[in-house]
Amino acid sequence: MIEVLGVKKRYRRKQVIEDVSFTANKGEITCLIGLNGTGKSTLLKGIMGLTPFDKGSVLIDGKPIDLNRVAFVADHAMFPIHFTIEQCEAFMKDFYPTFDSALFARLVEDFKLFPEDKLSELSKGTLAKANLALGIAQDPDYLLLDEPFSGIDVFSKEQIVELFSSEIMESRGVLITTHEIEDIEYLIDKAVMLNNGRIVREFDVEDVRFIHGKSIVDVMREEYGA
Amino acid sequence: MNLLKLLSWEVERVTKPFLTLVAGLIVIQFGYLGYFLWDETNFYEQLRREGNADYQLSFLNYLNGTPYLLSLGIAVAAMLLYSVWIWYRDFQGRGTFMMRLLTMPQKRMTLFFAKLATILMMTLGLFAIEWIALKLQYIAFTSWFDGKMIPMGGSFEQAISYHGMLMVMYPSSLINFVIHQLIITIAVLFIFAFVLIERSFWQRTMWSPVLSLSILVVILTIPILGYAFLSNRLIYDETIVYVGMVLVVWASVTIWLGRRFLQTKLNV
Amino acid sequence: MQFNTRTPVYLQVVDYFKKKMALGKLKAGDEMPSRRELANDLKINPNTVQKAFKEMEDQQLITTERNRPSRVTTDGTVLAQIRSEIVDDAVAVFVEAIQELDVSVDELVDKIKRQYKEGTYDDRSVGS
Repeated sequence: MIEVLGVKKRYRRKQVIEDVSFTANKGEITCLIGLNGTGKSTLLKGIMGLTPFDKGSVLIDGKPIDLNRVAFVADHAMFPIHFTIEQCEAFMKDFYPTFDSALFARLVEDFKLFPEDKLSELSKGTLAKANLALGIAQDPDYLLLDEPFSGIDVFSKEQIVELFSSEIMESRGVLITTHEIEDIEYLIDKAVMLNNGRIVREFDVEDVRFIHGKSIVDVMREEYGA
Repeated sequence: MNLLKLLSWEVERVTKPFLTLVAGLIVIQFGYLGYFLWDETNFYEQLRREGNADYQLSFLNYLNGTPYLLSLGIAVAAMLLYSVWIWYRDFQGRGTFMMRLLTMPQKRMTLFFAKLATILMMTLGLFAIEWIALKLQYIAFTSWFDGKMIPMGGSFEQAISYHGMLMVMYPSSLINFVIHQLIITIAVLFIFAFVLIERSFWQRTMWSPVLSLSILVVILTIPILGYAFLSNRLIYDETIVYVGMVLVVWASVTIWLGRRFLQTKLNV
Repeated sequence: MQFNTRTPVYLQVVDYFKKKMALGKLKAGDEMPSRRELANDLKINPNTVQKAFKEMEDQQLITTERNRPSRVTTDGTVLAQIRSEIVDDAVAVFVEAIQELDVSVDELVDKIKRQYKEGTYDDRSVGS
C-alpha cells in the first residue's frame, strides 16, 4: 500500500498541496483526478522524491520508498530524446536489477514499437507506450503514471487500456493521474479527487455507482461545478 | 559498479562534443603554426636582405601568439561551461533525463561522482592530446626552421616552463601536477555545488542563481581573506600547511553541499 | 459491450451473462471464459470481473471448483428463473413507458399481437 501522510508543498506564495493524505492499494488501480494545475503531478513527483515535500511523509508497504519496487512513468520521455528505444532499454538493463527483458520484448511487440526509433521521432501516443513499456518492464510492485492518456491518439489509448486489463498488471498497485476520466472509467478501483491542493473526495467507484447511482463524472461535476 | 556504468554512459554522451572541441583546437593551432612559420620566414628573409642578421626565434614566440593563447582559452571556457552543462542538459528539453537518473535504485552521489569523473577525464584527455599536439608542433617548428637555416633559441622544455598557462598544465614535478589537478577538481566541485543549489530552489526565480552564487562566493573568499590576514605572520612551511588545509576544506564543503542538495533538496 | 457509467460495472457484467444464459448462448454446464480473458475483452478492471464472478457464484448462476474454470450452473430452476426475471424486467420498463400514454390493456395486447405477427418486433430487447 502506498500511504501519503499529511504532505504539503508551497510554490512561491501559493500552497500547491495543502495537507494531503490518501492511500493506494496493491492490486488496485487508484486514480488521482483533478483539473489541470491542481497539484497531481507534483504529488507523484513528491512520492518519487523528485520534488521534496515541505511536510508529511510517504510510506510504501510501511517503509520509505524502495526504487527497485516503484516505477514512475512521466508524460514525457525520461531519456535524452536522441536516444533510441533500444538505447533506453540498454540503459534500464544496466541500472535496474529487476528489469525484465522478456516482458519488455513482449510489450514492444504488443505496442508495435520499433526499437531502432529515436524518442524524438515518436508521436505522443507512441512515446507514451514506450514510456509505459520501460516502466512496466522494471517489474515493479507499484507503478505511478502521470497523465498517460493526455493528448494521445485513440488507438494508443485503446492499446494502453487493454494492457491495464491484462494479466501483466495483475497484482501490481497502480496510481494514475488524469484530468480526462472517460478513458479509464471502467478500469479504476478507486478515485481520489483533488481540488486546489486538497483532497475533496476519496471513494470506491463501484460503491458510488451502487449506492448513489452516480458515475465518476457525476461526482466530478458536483465537486468541480463544471 | 553503477559508478562505472554511469561513467561509460556519460563518456559516450560526451564523445562527440569532446572530439569537436579537440578538432577545433587542432585546426586553430596547426593553422596558426602554418601562418607563423610562413610569416616569420618572410620576416627573416627581409632582415637578411637588409643585412640585419641579429635574429633569433624560439618556440615560446609561437606559444605566446594570440591565436595559440586563444585556443587554450577556448578549451578552458568549454570545460567550465561543460561542467555546468553536464547537469543542466539533464534538466532540459522534452526528455527530462534527470527524472530517470534520480529515480533509479542507486545512491544519488554515484551520479555526482560519475559526472565529476567525466569532467576530470575530459580535462586529462585534453592535457594529453595537447601534449602530443605540442610535440608535433615543436617537430614541425624545428624542422621547418632548420630547413630554412634560421637560427633558433631555447628548448621545448624551456618554452613550456616559461609559458604562463602551459606551466600550469605541465609542471616539472609530479607533486605539482597532482596539486594542479586537485585545484581543477575543486573548481569543478564549486561549479557542481552551484548548479545543485540553484536547481534546489523550488521557487526558481532570477534570485536562485544569485543566492546560490553568493553562498559559494562566501565559501571561496573566507579562506582567501584569512590568508591575506595571516600571510605576514606565517613562515613558508606554515603557509603550505594553511593552503593545504584550505584546499581540503573547500573540497569537503563543496562535496557536502552537493550531496545535501542532491539527496534531499533537488527539484526536477 | 457498452457499459453504463452510473451502474456498477460488475452488476452489468452479471446482467450480460444472465442474458446469455437466458438466450441459451451459454447452456447449463458450459465453461465460462477465464477472468483474465474477460477483463481483457471487455477492457475493464480484472478486480471488477472477479467481483462479478463472485456475485454470480453467490446467485448460484455459476459454480467454481478450485483451480478449474467456472461453469454455468446445471440447476434448471435457476436458469428458468433468470429467464423469467429478464422478461419481467423488460416488461416493467415497457409498462412504465406505456403507462404515460394512457392505453387500455386490451388495446395494448392487440397492438402487441399485431406487431409480433408483422415481425417488426425483433429481438432488440434481449440483444446487447
